[in-house]
Amino acid sequence: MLWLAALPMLAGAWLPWVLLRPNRLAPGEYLRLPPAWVALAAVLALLPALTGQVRRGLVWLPATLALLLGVWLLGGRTAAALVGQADFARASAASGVWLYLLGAGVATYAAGLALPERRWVAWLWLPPALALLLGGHLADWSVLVEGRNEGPRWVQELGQHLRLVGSALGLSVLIGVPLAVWAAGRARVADAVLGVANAVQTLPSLALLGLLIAPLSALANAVPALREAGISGIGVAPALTAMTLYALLPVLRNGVVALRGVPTGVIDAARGMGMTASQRFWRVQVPLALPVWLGGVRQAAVLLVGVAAVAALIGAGGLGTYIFKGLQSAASDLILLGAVPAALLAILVDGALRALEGWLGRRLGRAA
Amino acid sequence: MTATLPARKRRARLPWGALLWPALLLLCLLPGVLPALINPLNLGEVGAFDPPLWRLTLTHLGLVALSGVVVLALGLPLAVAVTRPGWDAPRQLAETLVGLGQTVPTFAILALAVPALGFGWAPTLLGLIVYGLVPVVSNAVLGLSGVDRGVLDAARGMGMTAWQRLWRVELPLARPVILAGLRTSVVYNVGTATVGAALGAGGLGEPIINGLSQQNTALVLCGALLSALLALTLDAWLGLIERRAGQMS
Repeated sequence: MLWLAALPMLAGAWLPWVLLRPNRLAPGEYLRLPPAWVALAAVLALLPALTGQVRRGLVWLPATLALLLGVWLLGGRTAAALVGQADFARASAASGVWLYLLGAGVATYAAGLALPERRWVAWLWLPPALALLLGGHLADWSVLVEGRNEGPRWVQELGQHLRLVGSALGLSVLIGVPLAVWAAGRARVADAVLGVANAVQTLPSLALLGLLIAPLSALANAVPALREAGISGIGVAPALTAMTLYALLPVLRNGVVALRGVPTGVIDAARGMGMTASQRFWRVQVPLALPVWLGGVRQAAVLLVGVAAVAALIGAGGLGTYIFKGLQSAASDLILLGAVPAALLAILVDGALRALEGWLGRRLGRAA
Repeated sequence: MTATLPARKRRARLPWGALLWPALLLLCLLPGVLPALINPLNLGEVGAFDPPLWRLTLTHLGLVALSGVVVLALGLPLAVAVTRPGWDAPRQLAETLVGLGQTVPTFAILALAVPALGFGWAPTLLGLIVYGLVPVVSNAVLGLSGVDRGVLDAARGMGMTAWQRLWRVELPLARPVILAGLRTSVVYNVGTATVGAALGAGGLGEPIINGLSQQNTALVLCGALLSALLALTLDAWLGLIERRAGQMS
């Protein structure tokens, strides 16, 4: 696998590294690395695989170095390309950077696998890379230039994105949890809920967003008083409504599945011990169902991060604003400014809730 | 009471969805039907479509079908390769990547493909392939590694070569699970392809996106209805194939 990772890195070292354009929209020229750097990058591309032949435990060192070299060269070469250029000139990462970083990423991942008891060595590159990012070494990279121009507005949109996801998730949990408890006790209702949830899951999310907006806007057309209260087909309110309904499904489905998945024997045993209905619910059913249920909340949260990006289309704001702006004006830096943070946000939310799930599972497992 | 229960179960198994959804889809695609249905709702003006709706539907279907073929051609060999003994590290990498693909928002993947491939159907197709690979690879790995070791040992004992074991034992046994993955992948991709309209891919997302940005809810409703019907149709059809494969093996 290390040799497999060396291939994109070798190609990346040779391919153009920086795209220099007179402004953010104009076509530009591709710049390669100077020969000395190409040689160094190529050596570091082969080094992890060569080290792997001798000492598997040491692969992390050249792999991390290669990854850091890629990030460092991105900053250095973009800065060098912009020397003597006008203010509007943009230096963006070309295919070489992406391929090199991809290969180096695979190599560090493989290095982490080679040391099962010390997985964290696969993340050693993160602190220096963050230092390069925050220390301003990457400041001339076009995406960050764009980000600096947007500055506070970008932070605002990120906040709006988080607010949208947070409120929709909160609302859907508030509605979904009691509903799931109510439905789980009734076999017929539970089957119906699961059937509807599965059917709705086959629908395209954009179509669902559209279908949910149609009744809202019809309502606003029919009752002008509601329109003055802010309910219409455009803006935050319809986006929030549609997102809440969208997130309701995984919360509801996993809740019903989790509560009904509690073995009847356990509940019978609790009844035999003399527990009342509410004791059985709080002390037996909820702790046993909670980890699976949280899985549904996690799915909902991850889905919402993506749906919120699309919700920018109906004027709800959020990171999707930059993606659509970038798509309309064919400015790839703006697209990256919206899409990369949205992707990272989804991964972060997923990781955080997964950790919470694991922790709760262990805790409740011990308590039970 | 107990006598009616199996009868109801058998009726539920009738593939009514496989007939109902495509029939509704075709009905909506007849010229004039959809405007006649939607205009009385007073949500906005829906006139003649340019390009016509059936062409948008065909574009959509073409994108999904093409990506489905590529996904199978790439995903199946990949899954077979990483489930061979001695390929533990690549399998873990594949599983990590599949998990990542499930987490990263579709729209972000599509948007990230634009700087590399420009506008039009190309970034959408790439996004569909990347996103479609996720369920196919994860299900194929699951199905292939779920094949009973005893069965494989028996096949080896009968003198089958590694290729014969793969073709005659492992793949047929894993087929229902693989087909279920393909079904999930195709149905999700109908949804992903609607988002692709934002990148200029055409398809049924186009009326949705145009309607949302022009505040014409009727237009949104057209695209949403048709893409939902398309998703339900493909889900029902692939469900039929999946069930037949399950009965055969």
